[in-house]
Amino acid sequence: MQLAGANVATKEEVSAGVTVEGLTVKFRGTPLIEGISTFFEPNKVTAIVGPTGCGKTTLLRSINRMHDHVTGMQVSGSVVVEGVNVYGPDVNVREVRRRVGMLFQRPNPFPRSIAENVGLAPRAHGLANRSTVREVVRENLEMVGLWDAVSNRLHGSPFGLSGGQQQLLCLARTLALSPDVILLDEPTSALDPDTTDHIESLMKTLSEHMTVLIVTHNLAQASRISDNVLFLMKGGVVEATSARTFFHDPADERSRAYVSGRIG
Amino acid sequence: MILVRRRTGGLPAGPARVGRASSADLSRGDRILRWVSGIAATVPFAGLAVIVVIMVIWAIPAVIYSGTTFFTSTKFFIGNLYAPTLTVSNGISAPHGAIYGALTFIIGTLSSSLIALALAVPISVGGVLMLSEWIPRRLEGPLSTFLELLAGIPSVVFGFWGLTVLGPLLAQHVFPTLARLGVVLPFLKGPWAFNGQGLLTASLVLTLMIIPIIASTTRELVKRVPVLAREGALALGMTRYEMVRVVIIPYVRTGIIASALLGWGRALGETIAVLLIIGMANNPPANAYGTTSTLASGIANQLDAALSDFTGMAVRAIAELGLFLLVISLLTNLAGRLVISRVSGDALPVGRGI
Repeated sequence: MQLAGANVATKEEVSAGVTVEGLTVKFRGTPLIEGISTFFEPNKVTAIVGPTGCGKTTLLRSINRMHDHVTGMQVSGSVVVEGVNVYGPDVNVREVRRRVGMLFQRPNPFPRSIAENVGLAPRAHGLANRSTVREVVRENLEMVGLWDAVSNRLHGSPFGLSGGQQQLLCLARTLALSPDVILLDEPTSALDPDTTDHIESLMKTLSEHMTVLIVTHNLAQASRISDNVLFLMKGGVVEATSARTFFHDPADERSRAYVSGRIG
Repeated sequence: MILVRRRTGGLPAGPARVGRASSADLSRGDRILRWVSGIAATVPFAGLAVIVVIMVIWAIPAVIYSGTTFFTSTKFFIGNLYAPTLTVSNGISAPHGAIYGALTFIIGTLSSSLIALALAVPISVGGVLMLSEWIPRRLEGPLSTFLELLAGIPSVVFGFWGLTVLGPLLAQHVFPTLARLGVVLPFLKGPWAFNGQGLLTASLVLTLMIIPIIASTTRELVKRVPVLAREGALALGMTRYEMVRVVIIPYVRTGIIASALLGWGRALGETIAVLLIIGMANNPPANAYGTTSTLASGIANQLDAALSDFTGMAVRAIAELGLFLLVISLLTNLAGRLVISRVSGDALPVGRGI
């Protein structure tokens, strides 16, 4: 495995996807998602869609164990990433999160310099040392197309960047750990159309090397970028199929209603 | 009376006003509220202004008499009240041999407050981070309440406890160990008073007194760190410690400086606890344990004797001490508030180097 940076273009191995089995997440006893079983194909973009409150984000956050930090959340079932059940005993959560990156709804850069935003996590995980970290920072900023804009202010504050640039910085920060899976939680909902286009095309490129899961409210976006669609309603799976089938000939009546805009 | 004058009827002229009302369309209740709140709003400003002006007026003769001696002499002596002659300096007369040097008090104030600050900041910040990140949620509430109760202990109780319990304890069990460091740091060599009275004991009690101030501000700031920012660090597989270092510390750093300044202001002005513990000596401390006085404790200690000075100069010299203390306390407070108001914006400090 290549250690330094996210030079994904040369990464040989192929992700084996994510398998979810009987996943139930409860908050103070109330189920948010119940008994979800599904498979996210490797090297594909899967869009998780559904009406507000259907459990899209809850499902996404189960995959990198973000519920661990919220009191009152109980998770049961299994999520297998690269052959490892992330809820199994003796699992190293730190390593799970190294391999499963996450991009949030709004950009959340660290209150540190731009270079540190990208370089701190690879240093913490021992993926880069003092001398190679510059290269990691550069590679990943180039990967997301931010290098030219920030190369002369690497030691400046990220809060001087536009919202879109901040989100790209957060993406570079995630890619710097060479994840096998990347989770995107409505990553463009707060962004301008140009940056949205840019991030959407990046997702296509990324899916050549990793499993990409995106939660989106925007059906047009889902149809533009996804290979597969997982449609949830009321905490359960309604339909999991290819994007082509979902948007043109869905099997379930509720999917048809959702795609045509009658519900949602 | 103007406060209760009734409106005499008729519609107010001109279009209806929005925002601040003119007196024409005020009801009786409005007028009363306006007067009462106006007075209430004026009192603090007026109070501060009056205090400063009176202190300045009282201090002027002492300022003229002492000149720069105020800052350069460690000797504060109200003079021989029974001597047949007076000492005249810069045209102002005072009892024979009177000298009003503040250097002892300044050294005592700065050293005790800075030692307290140096201990209280790491303890408060460490404690707050411990509470917010590692201690289980259900223990967090009671422990923070306990921390805030510490702020409610009257300072005379702190002083009494320092004098009767902490001082003797330190003198018997802690100072002998500290004295071993005297090889490296000569000011720790000793000797110390048998009951522990002196600078270090006073500084430790001051530490306890300012911890709640620094800790409660820091706690508010740590709570205000956005969840999204914390999750960003955790989602990258960072540990709690790394998250604290990478996200939380940069967010709260400026605020900690501000709260430290507020705490420092408190330590500078603390009187009764210090007076009871620091030993009331009229000289700079001989070593870290030495007895001395601070500006505040010195004022309280000297005032009784000063009132017997028939020329009145001793009281004026004490007013000068008070004025100086007032100015430095105001400055640290202002600086603290200024930094806090700056942090309230989104200007965030940025670290350097990976």
